[in-house]
Amino acid sequence: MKALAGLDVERGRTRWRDCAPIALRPTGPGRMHLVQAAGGPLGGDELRLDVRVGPGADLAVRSAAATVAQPGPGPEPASWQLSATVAAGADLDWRPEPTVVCAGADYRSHLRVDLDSTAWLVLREQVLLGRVGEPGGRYRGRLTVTVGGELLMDTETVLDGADPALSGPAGSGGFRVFGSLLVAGRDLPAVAERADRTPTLISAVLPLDGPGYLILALGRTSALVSAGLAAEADRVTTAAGIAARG
Amino acid sequence: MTALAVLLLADSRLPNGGHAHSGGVETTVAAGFLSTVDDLELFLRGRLCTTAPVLAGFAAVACLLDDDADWRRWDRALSARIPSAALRTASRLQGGALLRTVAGMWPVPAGLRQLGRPHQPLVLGAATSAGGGSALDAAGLAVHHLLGGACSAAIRLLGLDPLAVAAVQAAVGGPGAEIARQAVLAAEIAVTSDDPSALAAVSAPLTELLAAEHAQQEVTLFAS
Repeated sequence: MKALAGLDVERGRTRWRDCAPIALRPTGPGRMHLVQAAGGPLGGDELRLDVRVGPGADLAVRSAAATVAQPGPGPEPASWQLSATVAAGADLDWRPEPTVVCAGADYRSHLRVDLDSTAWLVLREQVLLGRVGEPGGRYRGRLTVTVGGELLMDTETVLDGADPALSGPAGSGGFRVFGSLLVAGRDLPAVAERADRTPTLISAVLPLDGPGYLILALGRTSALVSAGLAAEADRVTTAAGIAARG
Repeated sequence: MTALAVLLLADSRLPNGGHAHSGGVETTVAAGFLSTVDDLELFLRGRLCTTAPVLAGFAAVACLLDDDADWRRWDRALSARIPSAALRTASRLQGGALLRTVAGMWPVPAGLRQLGRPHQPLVLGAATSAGGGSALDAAGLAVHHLLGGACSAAIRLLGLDPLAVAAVQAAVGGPGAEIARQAVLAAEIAVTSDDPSALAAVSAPLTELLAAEHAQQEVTLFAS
């Protein structure tokens, strides 16, 4: 299945173009939900969404349920592409539900966001390797972000529950769930690099080489990783508040 | 004398401070993810499918670039691939130290020197070119130092049998050479199209997380 959907937000109006299986539904002022109108994606699917957030507009995107990537009839990967531009003074808050990569699936995503130097972005991703009791398939997720035309971040996370090297000590360390939260653009607090580790969760705040910081987490369960990302984000804003008051 | 120049850049006796870095091994050992020779082999194989293509690609690019290229842009493209500030600092410290060493050996592009502390793979690639080596030499050197640095650190930190570690390093040499060949193909596309996005961008989550943890430790044997 091939699909190209579009979403265009200006202050006071939102236009979108669904393309099966990608469906968009307004769920509040400046808020849209992504709805997968079919199972999958399956291997061989090529799904793409183009998003434009106009000057001074705000857009929050959520999803109705987890994305469940499954093997297709052939060897081709399932591919998901997001291409977003965020104009001057605009905000994009992109926090869909987790992606579950089932055993035997090969899922690739490329999220590209181009921010004006006065725009703001928060982007959260979470990946679960396999449903309960299975090792999970292969995930390749590239995230490319520019701010004011300068490259801020361009990384590809490769996970594979069935590959001992990629799930080993230089990969995901045996953890099944990966999460990331990127904050980029205007008015960011000063951020110091820090990490926290327990036997079931490792999380860190990483200041990027430019206006942005990345929070990463690896954990045993989705709930632990969600909580870990949120706790690190709270620490950043609390530290910034103390610095601002001090 | 090309072969000797490349061997000189591969030699850990070259005074560029490489011995001060463990390539992530120290923090991985401290966190309990690496303790045996088998773990080390998995670690090396993991590095080969994550960090190695990135470092090898940028080393090959630096070997292919003209002296008057926009070195800052390529340096920035590598920074964008390293989320951890501690890892970026380690790369720049090693790049600066290597630049000091090779600047007295061969002519180095002015645009690279002007960056002050460029990322290490860029200096390695430019030095390979200056010494008469090829892009494949540069990519191979990047993979060699990634593997060799980790092996030597694992022996010092864990007291592993050096003979067993040498055997593991040799065993991953075949896949490592293939990574270097693929990195050269990507580098040729990137340089021809003047677009860094053609280069590998893989970052391993555990490596980034543990690098941040290492940087906040008060006492460590290695800088990174």
